[in-house]
Amino acid sequence: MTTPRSRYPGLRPFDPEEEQRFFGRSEEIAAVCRLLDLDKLIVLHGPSGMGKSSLINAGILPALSNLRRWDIPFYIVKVRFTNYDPSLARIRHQQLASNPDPELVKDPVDRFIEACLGPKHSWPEVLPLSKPSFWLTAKQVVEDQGIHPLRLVFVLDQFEELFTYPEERVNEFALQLGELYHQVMPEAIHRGLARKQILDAETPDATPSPRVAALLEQLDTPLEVKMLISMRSDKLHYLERLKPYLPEMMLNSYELRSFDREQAKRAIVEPANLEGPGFLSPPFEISEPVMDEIIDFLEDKLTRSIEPVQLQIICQHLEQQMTAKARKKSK
Amino acid sequence: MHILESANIFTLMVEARKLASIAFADIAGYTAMMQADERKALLVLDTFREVLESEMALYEGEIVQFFGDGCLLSFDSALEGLHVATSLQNRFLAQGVPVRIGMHLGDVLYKNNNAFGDGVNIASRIESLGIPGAVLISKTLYDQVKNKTEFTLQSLGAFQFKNVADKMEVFAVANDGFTVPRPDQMRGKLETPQAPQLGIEEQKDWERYQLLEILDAVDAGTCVVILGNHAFSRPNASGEGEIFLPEILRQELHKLTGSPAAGELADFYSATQALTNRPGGQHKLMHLADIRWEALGPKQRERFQRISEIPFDLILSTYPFDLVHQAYDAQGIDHQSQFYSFQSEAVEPEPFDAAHPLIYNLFGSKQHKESMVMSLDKLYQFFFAVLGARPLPKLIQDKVQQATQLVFLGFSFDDWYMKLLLRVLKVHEKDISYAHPPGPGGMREDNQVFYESNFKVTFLDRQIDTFVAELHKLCQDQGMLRRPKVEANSVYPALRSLVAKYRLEDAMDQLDNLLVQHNLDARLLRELGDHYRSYRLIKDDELYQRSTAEDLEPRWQALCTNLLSLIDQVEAKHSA
Repeated sequence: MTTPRSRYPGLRPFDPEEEQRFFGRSEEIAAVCRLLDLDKLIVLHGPSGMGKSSLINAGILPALSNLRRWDIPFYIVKVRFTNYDPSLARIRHQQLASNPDPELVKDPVDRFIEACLGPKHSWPEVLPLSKPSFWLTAKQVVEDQGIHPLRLVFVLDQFEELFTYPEERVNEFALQLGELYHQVMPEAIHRGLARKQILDAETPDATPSPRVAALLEQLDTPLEVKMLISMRSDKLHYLERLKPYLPEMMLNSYELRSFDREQAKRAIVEPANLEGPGFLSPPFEISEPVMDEIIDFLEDKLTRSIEPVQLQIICQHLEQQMTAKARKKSK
Repeated sequence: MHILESANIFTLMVEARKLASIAFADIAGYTAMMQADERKALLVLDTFREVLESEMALYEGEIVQFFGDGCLLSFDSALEGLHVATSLQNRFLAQGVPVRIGMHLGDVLYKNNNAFGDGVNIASRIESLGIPGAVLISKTLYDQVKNKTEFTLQSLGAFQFKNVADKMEVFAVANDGFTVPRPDQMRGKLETPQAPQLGIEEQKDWERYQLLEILDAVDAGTCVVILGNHAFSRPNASGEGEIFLPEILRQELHKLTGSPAAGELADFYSATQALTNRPGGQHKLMHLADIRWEALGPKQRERFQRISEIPFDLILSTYPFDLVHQAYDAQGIDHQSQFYSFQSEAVEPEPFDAAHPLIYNLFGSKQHKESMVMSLDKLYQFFFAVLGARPLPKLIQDKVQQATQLVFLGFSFDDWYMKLLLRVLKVHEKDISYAHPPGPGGMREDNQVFYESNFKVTFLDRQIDTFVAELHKLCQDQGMLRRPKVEANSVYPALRSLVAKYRLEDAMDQLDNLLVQHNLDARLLRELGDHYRSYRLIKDDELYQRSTAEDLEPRWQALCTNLLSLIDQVEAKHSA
């Protein structure tokens, strides 16, 4: 890690490099990983600010690789959806009328493919398809990694934002996701192969590029896929819209809840104790009475629960005070 | 419900719980009466209803349900029930309506204005034993009324009724004017070992009766046909006989493995799985299993022609190829063809009826290879999905639930998955009887016990073609056969109309189908590819409001013009 960072990320979610300072969620990590072992598709949900993204970034994904839980190699593709506001997009386009910005609105289908293949992807080159295909994209990822078999783990974060896009594209996304889920070669690819046959007959001498040839060779083998979808609990009902394409979506879910006092204690104390470079502040200790005061302040008196995001904000502030104090002392 | 096995048939019938005395009354030989003289039959039915309604108004009893030519009555008191039954029979006799009445006292479950339970089943079994002018009662009811001097009751002996654990003694009301059936007149829903005791003529009568029941159901739209792999065949090499699909695959497997046992032991899907697992096997399997209409001999054509003409409104098939659809097409019979897929978007079929029947492939379609169930692996996936997150379309579930007759054509009930298939169709909740398959292909005893104890099934003895021919003849006699719809090739006008309605994606998909299916022209296919891309670009700009509607309009227009021109070119190429 190059620039020193706070021990507590505050409002932003933990990122994968911050695994070492992510505490209080060991049970949840184990539970979600277990579900992923058993099934292909898990929906992780919880209210806003519950730390879903942090759990994925600094908890689940590192746990998967550290534990070597699967006997086949795997590759993680992370897609994070952002909100689409049509009126805002329209205004921005008018402002940029002479030179419209294609990045302004990232179609969810394009976003997924870009997350897999990078910004310079091109879907029609392999097979003449009438639409982009997640399945073929996933095959391309496996081929690019050059490992067979390779398990692809798709992590779709802030999935509720998908539903802010036009319905037509949401449906297409769902259809594609369904094909991916089922792993077997979808009809669209069968059709692409049939078209290719007709087109190839015209130029019998042409040889495909080695990359395309290798990919076509692997087309028959089923994909190995896992999906982890994370979204806000209050938007769970949107999943109903995907039911025609992927009714299995509703089979496995995991609710991420707020901290209890014990978890909160760990999330406060453990990062403060960490030694080593990379931190803005030197290690510090928090006395029991101070800890109790913080927790009492954060605790919802009715549900006796503590919201992780509030805890992070308070702790970040605390750390800043500690740093200032240390600086003053050294002066 | 009636089910017909590989070469053969069945029958099926379709909440406060209380102890009640239940009476079944029906007009004997009503379907035959309808065939002989429809007007007279309708008059008889009117009289039957009038008598029931006027008589029941006088007593403490309830008409639970009328169904066709029959009626189910319920009484709180055994004695009152018997009074009403005899009084009713007296009036029927006086008016010349041939009615049989059967009664029992037992547990009854009332639900949705209908009655269920053992009490109802046994009353129905007893009624089926009767003849016109008879009132028959069970021993249980007899015990309640035996001390009443106004009834003379005569024992007819003990009978083993179908799906009733113990033998049951049956009594007939022998008062003056009532008919007491002779032993040789009593048939009905008895346990199968009793059936062979019937003479050949009587057996034939009984089977004819079952066929007439199926005919009634076809007419009422309550008959569903399920076609299995044993219904599909092609002429054999010599051209004299025919060879059915499972045998075709078994022979191929035998050729590949050299072991005769491998072929014989395997059920259909184990055999297809074994084929699939061999190099090039998948391709071979698709080639062998896809029996085309053009490849059929006169015998097989006649089978499907007849099936298409009988006005079934729903045909379910476990054969994932187009043969049935082709047969309907060849006959020019209007229909829709749909399929189940355990992994793609769930599609509800359009509403269907006898004028616009539905052929539904349960095990997928060749048009969507991903959906085809042609191996054990896929069969497991199918059952996992259909019994789990992806049930059959509601319209089909409803139809099967309301069906009174399910006719299974071309199944081997010894195949393990039949039990699951019956559960998928939810027939486990129904009372089924079915006919025994002939020849060495007969069912194993343990399976028979299983079906009889879980699904209440009895087999009828019929070859598929005999059954189809007989039912076809009955429909013909009734003037029920379907007439082909005469219509010119409507593909291209339909395509143009899609474009006119701005359903461009549908139009392009159908055009793509045509081009790929007929392997028409690479140039046209490439052109279509360009149209797909421009469609997406314009659509993107529309969806994300990158252009105004006025700016988009000429682009849409241009695409429409291009598509129409492509349709013209494809049509010209196609007809050439």
